[in-house]
Amino acid sequence: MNIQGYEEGMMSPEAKDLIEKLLITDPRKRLCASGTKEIKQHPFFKGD
Amino acid sequence: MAEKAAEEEEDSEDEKIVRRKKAIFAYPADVKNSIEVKIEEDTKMGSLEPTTTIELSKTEKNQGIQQKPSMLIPKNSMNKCRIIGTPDYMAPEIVNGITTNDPASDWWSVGCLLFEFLTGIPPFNDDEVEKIFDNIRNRRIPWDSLEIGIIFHLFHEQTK
Repeated sequence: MNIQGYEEGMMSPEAKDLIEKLLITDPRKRLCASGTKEIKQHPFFKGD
Repeated sequence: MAEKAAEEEEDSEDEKIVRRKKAIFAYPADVKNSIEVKIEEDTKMGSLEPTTTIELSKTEKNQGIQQKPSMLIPKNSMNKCRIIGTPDYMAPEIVNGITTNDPASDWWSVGCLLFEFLTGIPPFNDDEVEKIFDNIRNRRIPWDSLEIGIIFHLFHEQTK
């Protein structure tokens, strides 16, 4: 089974990156720190 | 002829992939947009944690309300009984009692939700509330968990 961009037991790098950045312990360093635009522009939401 | 059939097969497979990807992106994108709108409207709600979007499971209710009431009810809550977070989605600054109303905490929760959407389990899930808090404080994200990918497998099987 192969879903484009995914392999069994793996998450897409974009999804992993977004989650890693949202789950930063210091709220001042979290992806949202400089506004929601940053989140909007994350490659994960550019999924085609 | 056989070639043409194979080509059609390929196209429909592509369409299936597109549909699956759309489904995968739609829910996280909805949550992201809703929270963004709420924050931009400067809503008076104390919190936008997943209790507003996700119903507590019976287990979570038991764990959350009966074992840790003080952790879950904000001190200056307008409605004394309102629960502002389920342990699984609480940001470390909330767990540590530093803040209860920072929008950044909601984005942490979104991160937890995304992880759950893509794997089927919340990232810091554990048997007991204290263990969940410990996982959050130490940022133990189970990237290597074998459970990751199960959801894709099931999804694939169902849409075959």
